[in-house]
Amino acid sequence: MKNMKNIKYLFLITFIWLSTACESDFPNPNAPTIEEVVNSPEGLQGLIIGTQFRYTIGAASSLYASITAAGLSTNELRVLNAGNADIAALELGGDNVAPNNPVVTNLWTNLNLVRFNAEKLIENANVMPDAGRRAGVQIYGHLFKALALGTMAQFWEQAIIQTGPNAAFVTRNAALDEAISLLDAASSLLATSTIPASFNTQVGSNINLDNSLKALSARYNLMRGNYATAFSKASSVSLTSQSRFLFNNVSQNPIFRSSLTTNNVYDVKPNFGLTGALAPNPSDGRIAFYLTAQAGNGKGFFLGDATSIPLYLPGEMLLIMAEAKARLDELPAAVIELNKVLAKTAGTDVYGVGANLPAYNGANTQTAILEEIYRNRCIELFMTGLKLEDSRRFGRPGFGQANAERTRNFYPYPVTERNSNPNTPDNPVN
Amino acid sequence: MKKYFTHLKHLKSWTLVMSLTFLAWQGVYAQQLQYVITGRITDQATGESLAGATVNIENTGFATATDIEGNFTLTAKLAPGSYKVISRLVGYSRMTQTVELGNQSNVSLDIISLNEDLMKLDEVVVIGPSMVSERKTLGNSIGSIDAGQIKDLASPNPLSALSGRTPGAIVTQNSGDPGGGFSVFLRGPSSIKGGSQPLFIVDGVIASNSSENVINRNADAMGTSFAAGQNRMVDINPADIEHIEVINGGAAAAIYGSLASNGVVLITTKRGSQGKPRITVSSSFSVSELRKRLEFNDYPFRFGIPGDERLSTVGDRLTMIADLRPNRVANPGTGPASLGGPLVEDQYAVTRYDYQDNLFRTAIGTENFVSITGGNDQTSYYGSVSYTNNEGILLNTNFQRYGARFRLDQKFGTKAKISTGLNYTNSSSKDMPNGNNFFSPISTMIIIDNVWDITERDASGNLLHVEQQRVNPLSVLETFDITQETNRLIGDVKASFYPLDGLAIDYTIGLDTYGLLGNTFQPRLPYGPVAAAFFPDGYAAVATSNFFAVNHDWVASYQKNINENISSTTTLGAQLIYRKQSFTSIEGRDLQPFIQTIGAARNFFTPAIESRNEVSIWGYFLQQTFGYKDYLFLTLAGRIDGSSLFGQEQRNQFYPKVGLSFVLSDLDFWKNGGLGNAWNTMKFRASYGESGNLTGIGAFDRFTNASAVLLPVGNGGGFVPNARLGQSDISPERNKEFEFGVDMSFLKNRLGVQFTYYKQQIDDLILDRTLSPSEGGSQIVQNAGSMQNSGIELMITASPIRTSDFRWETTFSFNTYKNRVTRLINSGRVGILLRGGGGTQSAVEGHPLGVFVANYYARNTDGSLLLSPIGLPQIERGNDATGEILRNQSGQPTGDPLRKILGSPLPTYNAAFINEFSYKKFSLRVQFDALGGFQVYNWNKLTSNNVGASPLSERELRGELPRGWNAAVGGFIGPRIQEEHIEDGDFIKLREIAFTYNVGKFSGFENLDISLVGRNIFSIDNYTGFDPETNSAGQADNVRGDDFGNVPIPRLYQLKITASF
Repeated sequence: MKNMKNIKYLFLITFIWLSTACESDFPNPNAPTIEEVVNSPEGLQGLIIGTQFRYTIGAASSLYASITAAGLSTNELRVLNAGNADIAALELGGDNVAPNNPVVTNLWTNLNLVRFNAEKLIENANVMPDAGRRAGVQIYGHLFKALALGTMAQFWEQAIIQTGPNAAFVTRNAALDEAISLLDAASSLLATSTIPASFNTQVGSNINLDNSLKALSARYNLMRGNYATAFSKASSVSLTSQSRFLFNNVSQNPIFRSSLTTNNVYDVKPNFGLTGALAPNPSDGRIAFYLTAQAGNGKGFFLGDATSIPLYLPGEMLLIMAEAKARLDELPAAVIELNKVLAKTAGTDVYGVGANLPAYNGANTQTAILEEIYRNRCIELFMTGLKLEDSRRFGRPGFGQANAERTRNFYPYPVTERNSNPNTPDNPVN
Repeated sequence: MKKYFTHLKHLKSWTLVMSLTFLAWQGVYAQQLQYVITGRITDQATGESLAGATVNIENTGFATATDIEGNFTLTAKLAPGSYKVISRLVGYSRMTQTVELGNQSNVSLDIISLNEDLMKLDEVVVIGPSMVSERKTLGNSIGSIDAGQIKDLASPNPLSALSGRTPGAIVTQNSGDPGGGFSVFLRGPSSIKGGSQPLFIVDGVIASNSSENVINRNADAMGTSFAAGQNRMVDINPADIEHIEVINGGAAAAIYGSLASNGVVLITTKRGSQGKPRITVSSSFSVSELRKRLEFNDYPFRFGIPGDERLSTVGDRLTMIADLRPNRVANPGTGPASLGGPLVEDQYAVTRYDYQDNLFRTAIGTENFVSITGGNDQTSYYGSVSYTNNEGILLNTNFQRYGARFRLDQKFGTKAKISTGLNYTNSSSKDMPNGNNFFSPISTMIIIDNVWDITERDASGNLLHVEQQRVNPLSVLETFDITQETNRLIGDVKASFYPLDGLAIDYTIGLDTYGLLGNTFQPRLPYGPVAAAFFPDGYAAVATSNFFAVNHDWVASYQKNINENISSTTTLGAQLIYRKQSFTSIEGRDLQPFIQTIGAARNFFTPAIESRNEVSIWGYFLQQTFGYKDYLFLTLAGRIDGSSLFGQEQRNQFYPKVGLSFVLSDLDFWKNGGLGNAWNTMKFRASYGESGNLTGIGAFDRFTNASAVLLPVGNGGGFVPNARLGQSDISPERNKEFEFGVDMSFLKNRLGVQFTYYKQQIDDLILDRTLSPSEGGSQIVQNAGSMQNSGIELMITASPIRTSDFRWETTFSFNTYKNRVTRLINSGRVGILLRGGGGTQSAVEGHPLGVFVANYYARNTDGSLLLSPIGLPQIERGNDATGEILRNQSGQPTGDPLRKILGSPLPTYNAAFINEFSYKKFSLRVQFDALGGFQVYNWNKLTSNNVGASPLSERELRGELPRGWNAAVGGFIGPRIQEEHIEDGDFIKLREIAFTYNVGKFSGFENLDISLVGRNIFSIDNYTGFDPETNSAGQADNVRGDDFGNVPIPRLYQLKITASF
């Protein structure tokens, strides 16, 4: 039995092995936790880029969903393969847009996530080591939160302005007011802060903070009906400054990658979907810019995986000024701004969007001028996700009316929100 | 950390206890003498000698087996006294006789004749780590399958062996690929997030049965939880299996604790037998073919106005459901408005093809196997090598497997033995894109109208385009090169000691490791335009997966007769498991010529992936069984388990078990009374147990993690907090099961009935619960539900004819499954969706997991379709929150699209009917499998309707249905009517038929067997697709019943010769 004795020791060894080899907490080499991210300066800087990523990348992003939804609801886009039932429902509109429509749900979800991430930036800015960087994180937080709230107000009657369980809804006007106050507060902070260059090296300088804050403030003030403020904000925006979302072959231009180049999802409508009195002048330089297919069926700001998409267009600022003046019944001033848009050429616009058309020569009435402004918004701001808001604001015929130009007024609140949030309001009829 | 130390402390005190046991070995033994006991064992009914029966002396290590003549010689060194000699053989009742050992050293026993035992109550079955027990002592049912039952399986996957052969198992072959995956549900699903596949243990090694996707990285996964491809148990060759035990649920599986909530499948491979070396060679040749062809439209006309001769303009696509012609404004269609405007009613002549002729082939296969076994009373060995190569019925697909297995059993006298085994497998396959995209072979066939000649080529031999945006199916089959290869090693060492009579101590170490390599090469397509999502610019990818696991099991078992009536078995065990996994993947598109590797890619369009994780699991258990007079048995057990996957507070869990077995027929009044003659066995059993799912979440799922992302701004990278939030105090799922059953046999064991009722309650069900996005996430991992499974398992076995020349054995089994999700927080009337991409499988409170929640036809009160004002079918509308149907003034549906439950992919019953006939040297085995009460979502029908290739579109072309019908059903005029695509799946299949001729001794061969086997010969069903037994989501447990471009299960014939010498 000599063998047996030896094996007995083997047994003892295995037990010692057992009692030492038992580790129960393993580090995660693949990803940090959200707590680790918001508690470190590098993490917060990364979160600024991450928030931008969340807003812009993929078919679930706000950028993709807002352009898609507004485009399909307002006749800018047409579905190519209605096997994609979700977008076909948006195109058909009315009660085809169910509360569980994936595009609508994506837009709502993504805007809420962007707002949540932006709030994390605002709450944790103190982690940054100096005042300049703290201001930088704060300002980005304010910018993205305002963008989320403002976009939400474009598509829903009520919005959520603060993350939390059973979050309260506020009217879209209150959401716009909150967005405006966030933007204006950020503008003040920016004016009194010195953001170090090294910060911009880390988080990027693709967004000109000063101009973007003012431009968005102008946009939301206009939607809110604060025409004088809208005008002054818009007029303070530099028309030669660029603020763009950047993409590459990995983080791709979502409209190009998920739709246009597939040739199977949706595409632009001829003449921007505008007919009758609104039909574009055939010599409008923007037809070629937005509607002519380039390689891979790319168009406009969606030419390829790496084409950047502007956060706002200089033409929007001019049109805000024109509309503000028109609505204030200062018609000559309105026409001056409108003519700047019509006269703009591909060579003079920073993004190459140029109508290159003669000056306005229509009736000198508020109605006629506003209609011309609307036509130009439809063309100049084609596929920017603003048209649903514009169509409502300009009182264009809605779903169910004669010659309807849009298939929804507002979207239903997604089922996912309603299922766990008792404060969810009733869905609009259309 | 505190818990960690406490846990270590437990283990250390254990070490001490165990060490003391070792020291106690040096017992004092009485004077021992050498005895030689001889005897012979026969079948009581026929008087034939029984070879391979084992004979042992109770509570000692002395054992032997009978030779071919049924004789045995048992040499034992024992103190004189009274001993029990136990003889047993699989399929026979155990026989115990008392032997007095005195001065005579040679003891000759009378002939021992054994009774056939249908109920197998005396069979020794594996019940836990290094734990065996006689079936009669168990309070629960255990399914068992032995090598003889699966020798003519004709399938490379051991999971196919479970089908119809063990109670309570739903076995589904998800894909007809030659290495296609199988799913097994034991008594139904028991988890949503954690998966419902059982734990697999091969010779004491916890063996991975994962389904990993290293190819098809570019497939559009259509949402959540797809797991297509091979399941890794395919690395085990069924020919190496000696027996399989199936432990269905928590009641029995508690001893496996934290891993066992889905049940346990224990596989024991072949081991050496005493005697001169015996070599077995088998070789087979198989032919497989498409079992059922889909019906295609053969009406030689098509809607539309052709743009050009070869139908290559935009307007030539989707003419059934859309008018996409650029010039349609000038010449508008006249039918109902659909996509792009009114549908064109004009038709033009076309040639219609049946592409199945081009895609499928008659495939051949071969399996070759050599084993050698032998040994003496101390050492035995078994070794085998095998080679399998099966072609798929799809062109250019195959599965190939090399295997080598070796096992050595070494005894050290009667006090110790070691068994060690090593299994090496190299599995490789040539694959095609799986179904979940529109560039898989079958999807490409179904997503184009069947009016293009797909075999046509240009001058340089390139295939031509088909319907715009789509891929020619032959481009896929002829030019794609998609392969995967697995190298796997499973090794185990088991050391056993018998230091004292009745005391057994075992230590097992099991290692399982594999490396998986997948390569995908899709060359640039020579035609266009093809949708960018289908990679017309080419695609290459490489992915690897590496897995390593080690498990240590330490079991001490002590058996003692407390007095004449009461016996006791005490088992103590400890287990430690460690697993490490890593995965990498790189993908690229826009390929340069000549190169087939990832090096060809010019565009790395998605970030490279690497992920690594480690898991440890530990557990201790104690089991105590008391037996009273060999007819009443009580088992109590408890196990404490912990896992690194859960938070500190939830980590350690206790799982109890209790079992009771009462063999009424072993009572004297029964045995000796008249009843015992007609009613031979009557056993009651009942048990309750709890088990867990400590691996039910991913390694770091309890945290809210942030993903690193790339964006070309600033320093180029950032962090995005995951939309799925974590929860640190999440607790493991727990499956509480009660089962009750009876085992009965009648008419001299000619008729047997086994019946079991079970009920499982699964609590703390973990799921990624959908959040209101306003809470800062779209999902949260949460204990958010409960689920129940209940059902019966009935198996009737009979031997209607049993003569020495002719035998007829028949088995009928019938199992029911009632699965209900009983609680699901905040899930609403229509529950939560489990499958994205337009799928309908959902979890809904009060219904089975994965039910189809779908839009349905608006109907009149008499059940007829409520057509729209333009005479087309439409969906029902109303209030989707309440399900209330609403009508407007003109009686038309109004409101939101309504959804309701239109079926379930989980069967409510399955049945098997097996008949085995043998006449002299001929035998015939016929197995029918039936699966019922379930539905399938037929995506193939949806797509082929839309493109115009289906029978439904043919009816519209022929004018039997109004123009626009297919467009309305498909969702091009109003939302898609999903009801149309949900079909009953019930089937009865001739699963296996095996005809065997046993030549016996033949020119130098000791034995020669020739068999002709058929598999999946026919199916009786009403399903319009290929086969209702399918799942394009593969081994995904939540998304079942999906039929989307999946390869159908072929019909197979195999000729096999097995010789031994």
